[in-house]
Amino acid sequence: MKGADDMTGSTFPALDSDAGGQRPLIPADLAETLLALALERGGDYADIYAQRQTNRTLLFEEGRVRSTTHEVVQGVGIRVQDGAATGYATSDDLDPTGLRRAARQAAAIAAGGGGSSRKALTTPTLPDRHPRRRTAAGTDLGERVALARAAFAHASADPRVTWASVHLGECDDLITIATSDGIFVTDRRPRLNFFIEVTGVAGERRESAYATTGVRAGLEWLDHGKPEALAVEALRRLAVKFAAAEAPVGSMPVVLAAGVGGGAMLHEAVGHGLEADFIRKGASAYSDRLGEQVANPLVTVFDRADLPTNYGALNVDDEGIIPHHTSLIEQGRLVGFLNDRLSARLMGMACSGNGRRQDYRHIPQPRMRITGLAPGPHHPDEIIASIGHGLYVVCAPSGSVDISKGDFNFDVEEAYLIEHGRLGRPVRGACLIGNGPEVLRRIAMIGTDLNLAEAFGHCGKGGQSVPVGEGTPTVLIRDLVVGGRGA
Amino acid sequence: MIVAVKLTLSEAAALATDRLRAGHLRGHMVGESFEGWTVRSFNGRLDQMDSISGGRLTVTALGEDGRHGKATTSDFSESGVIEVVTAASAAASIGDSDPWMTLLPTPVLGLAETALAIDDPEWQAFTAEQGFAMSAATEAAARAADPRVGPSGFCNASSKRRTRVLATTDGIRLSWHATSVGLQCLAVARSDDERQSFFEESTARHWRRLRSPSVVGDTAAKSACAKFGWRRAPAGPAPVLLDARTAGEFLALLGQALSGGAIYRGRSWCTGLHGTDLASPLVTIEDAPLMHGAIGSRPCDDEGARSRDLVVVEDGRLVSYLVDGYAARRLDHPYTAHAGGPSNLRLRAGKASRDDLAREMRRGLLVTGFTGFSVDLASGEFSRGASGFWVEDGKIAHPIQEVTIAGRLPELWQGIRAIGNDPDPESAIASPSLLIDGFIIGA
Repeated sequence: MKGADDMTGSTFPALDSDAGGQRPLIPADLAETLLALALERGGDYADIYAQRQTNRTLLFEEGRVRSTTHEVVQGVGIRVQDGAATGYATSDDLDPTGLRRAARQAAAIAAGGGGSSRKALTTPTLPDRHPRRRTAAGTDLGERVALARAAFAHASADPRVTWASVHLGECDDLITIATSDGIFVTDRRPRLNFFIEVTGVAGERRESAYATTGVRAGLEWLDHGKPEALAVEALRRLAVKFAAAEAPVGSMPVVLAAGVGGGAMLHEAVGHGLEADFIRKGASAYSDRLGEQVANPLVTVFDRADLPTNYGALNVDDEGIIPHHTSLIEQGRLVGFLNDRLSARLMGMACSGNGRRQDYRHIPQPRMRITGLAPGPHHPDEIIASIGHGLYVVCAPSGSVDISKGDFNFDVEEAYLIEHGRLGRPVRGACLIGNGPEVLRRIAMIGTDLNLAEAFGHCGKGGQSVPVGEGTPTVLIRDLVVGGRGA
Repeated sequence: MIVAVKLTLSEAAALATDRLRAGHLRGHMVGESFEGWTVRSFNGRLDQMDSISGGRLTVTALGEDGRHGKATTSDFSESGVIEVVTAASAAASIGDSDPWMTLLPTPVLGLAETALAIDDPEWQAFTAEQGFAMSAATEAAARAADPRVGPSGFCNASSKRRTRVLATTDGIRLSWHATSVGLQCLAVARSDDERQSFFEESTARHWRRLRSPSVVGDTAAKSACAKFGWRRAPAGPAPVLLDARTAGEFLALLGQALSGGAIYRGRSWCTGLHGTDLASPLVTIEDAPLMHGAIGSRPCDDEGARSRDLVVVEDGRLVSYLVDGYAARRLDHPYTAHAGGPSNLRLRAGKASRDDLAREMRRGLLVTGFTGFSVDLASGEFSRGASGFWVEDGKIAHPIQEVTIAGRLPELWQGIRAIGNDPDPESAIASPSLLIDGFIIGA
C-alpha cells in the first residue's frame, strides 16, 4: 500500500462539503482533452459525464435508530456516437491515465475516419428548479433522528400497529457535463425521501400500509409537522385495508383519483411507449403513429421538467440540454416523442431534453421527467356520479408495461367500489390491466383537478432507475380489467 | 492535475480494518470490484458497446452496545477509504444501542471448500467482438425463424467478472472471484395491426455454456409469434398451470416472504409459520449455494457466512427461514448464510412433463408470462396480469392475453396439485411447472 506521503488528495470536493457549490467536477481543459481523445477515431458526437453523489439513509424502528448509511458514488462516463452506434466507458479512477483509457475505449466504436468537429466549451445559464435551504451536510444526525422519531412515535401510539419503520433518505448529486457541441455545465440535484410503513394484525388478518414523499428539496420539506402527517396518512390507509373487502373481478368502469390515482397508469399506458428509442427501433405500440388521433379529443398529455421541487424536475438533462416542455398528445392527436440526443438526430427531430441516466455507470436513454394529463372539463363529483357500478382508485403507486404490444398493469393500494354514483366500501388486493392504445381511446371524462405537486415515482428501464413525477386529474376509463377475487 | 492513488481491494481492506481498530471499534469491510462489457446489435450492426469497470466498498463500524454505522464509497483512493471509515465510525459513536448487532462468530465465517466453478478461467477469451457476433447471430436467428419478426434493437451479449473481499477487525480475510455471461434477445413480431414480443435469455458462469444464438433467437421468435390470435380466458375460478419460468417467479416471492427481515418485523404472511405445514406435501424447497457452476452459487453470503446447503420446506413443512446474522439472532434461529438473499433456490422436480400436467388439468390456464408486481407479502394477497394459453381437453387450444389471476398465497401454496420435471437449469431461483388450484381468473 502507498504511504501517506504519496497521498495527494482527490480532485473531487471533500466528503460532506457543500462549499464546492457549482464548481465543475473536472476542469474544462481536461474535459477538452478527453473530448479530443474520444473523437480521435471520428464519430458524430462525444460527451463526458462526471459525478459525485452522496446518499444518506436513516432507518428508525422500535424507538431507536436501526441503521444509518452513507454512500459516495463518484466517477466519469465517456460516450462516443458514430452514426447510430454508441461506445461507452467509465472510470471511477480519477487520474488522467484512467480517464484517457476510458476515452479510448469509448472511441473504439468509431470507424476510424478521424477529424470530427468540436466546438469550444461554453457554460449556459441554468434555471434553479431545486431550491433547497437545509442540506444533509449542514445538519447533524440528531435533527434527522428527531424527524424520524416524530413519525415513529405517532404511528406506534396506535394500538393496532405491531411494527413501524421510518426511512429518511437524502441524496446530493453533483454532476458536470462536457459535450463535443460545446456545452460545459455543472448542476447540483438534491433529492429527499421520507417513508413510513406500519404493520398491524387483527385476528387472522395481517396488513401493511405506507405513506411517502419524494421531492427535490432539502430537509425543510419536512418542517411544519410533515412526518406526523405522513404517519397519520399511513395509519389511515392501514385502517382502510382492515375495513376492505375483496376487490371485484372483471371488466368495469374505473375512476382514477387525482394525485396518486392515475399517475402510474399514464406513465405505463402512455409514457413509456412514446420514448423515442423504442419508437425509432419499431418496438413500440406507438411506432409509426405520429399525427394520428390516438385518443378522445379531451386527452392532452405532456412531459415537463420545470416544476420546482418536483421529484422529476431538472435544470439540465444528463446530456447537457436544458429541458423543454414536451407535448406528446394534443387533443387526442399524437404529436411528439420523448427524445434523447441520439434518437433526435436519427429521427430528424428536435431534442426534447429527455436524455437521462441513473448515474455515470449508465448510458443515457430517453426517459420521462414529470408526465401529466392536462385538466379536462368535468367536476370530479360529476365523474363519480356518472358510474352505476365501478371502481374508484385513490392510490395506485406502481406498474409496468410491455412496450411492444402496449399491455400495461398497475397495482392498487387503496380503492373503493362505486355503486349508483356514490362511493361504497373499500376493497383491496388487485392489479388492473389494460392495453395502452386501447385505454387511451376509452378515456371518457377528465376532471378539472390536476395537481402534480407531490405525485412521484421511481422509474425503471433497462436496469436504470430515475426519479420522476407523474399525475392526472380525476379520470374515467370505460372498461378496465380489475384483477380481484370478489363479486 | 493532482490525483489520488487508487488502492487495490485488499489494500483498502487492510486500511479500513486498521483504521477501525485504531478507533477502538470492531467491524468489517466488504469490497467489490468488477470489469466487463455489454454489446448490443441492431439490424446486424453494432449498436452499443459499454466497457464496464468499477467497484465499491462498504465499511460497517461497531461500537459499544451494538451502536453501529455503515458507509459505502466507489472512491478507492486512500482518502476515500479513510473518509468512509470516518463516516461509519461517527455514526457508530452517536447511534442507538442494539443488543442484536454484533459481528458473526468466527466459526460461521469463511468460504465453503467445495469447488464451485463460478470463476471461468477462460473468461478473457470471450471478447466483446465475439459477443457482438453472438448478439447479431441471435438477432438473425430470430428473424429467420418467422417472417413476422423484425428488428427489435434489444439483442445483447454481456460478460462480467467480479472480485469480492471481506475483512473483519478480528483478522478474518476472505476473497473470491465470480464470472457471469449472458445472451439476451427481445423478439418483436408484427402482424397487420398488432405487435407481440418475447424476451429470451441464456445466462451462465462460463461463456462456453451459454445456449447457442440460434436456440435463443429461435425460441424468442417462435414464442412471440405463438401469441398471435389471442383471446381472453373465461373469468372465474379455474386451475392454473404455471410454466417453469412463471413458477420460478412464484417461488421467488416465497423467498422474499421467508427472509428474516420480513419475518421479525411481522411483515410477511409466513411470520409464525416455522414448523407448520406451509405448502402442499408435494413441495420440497432447498437453497443450494454449492451447485457446480450455477449462476446463484457462492462460497459465502454478503456478510462472509460460509455457504451450506439448506432445506427450507420439506414435504410441505416450513423448516427454515432465510436469515442474515442480525435476523438469526433476533429470531433465535440458526445461521443460514442468507445476507443478500437466496442463492440457488430450488423447488424439487417431480416426474411429470408439462404436457402431462396439462392433461391432468384438462381445462384451465397455462401461464407463460406475468406482468406487474401486485403481491402483498404481509397479507399474502396475489394479483397479477397473466398471459399464456387456454387448455381444453388437456391440450393447448389458443393463446390468452389481457387477463389477471388472483389468489391468496397461503391457499395457493397448499393448492399445488402436481409438480413438473422441467426446472430451468440456468436460473438461480428455479421451479418446475406447477399445477395449482385456488386462482381466480379476471378478464
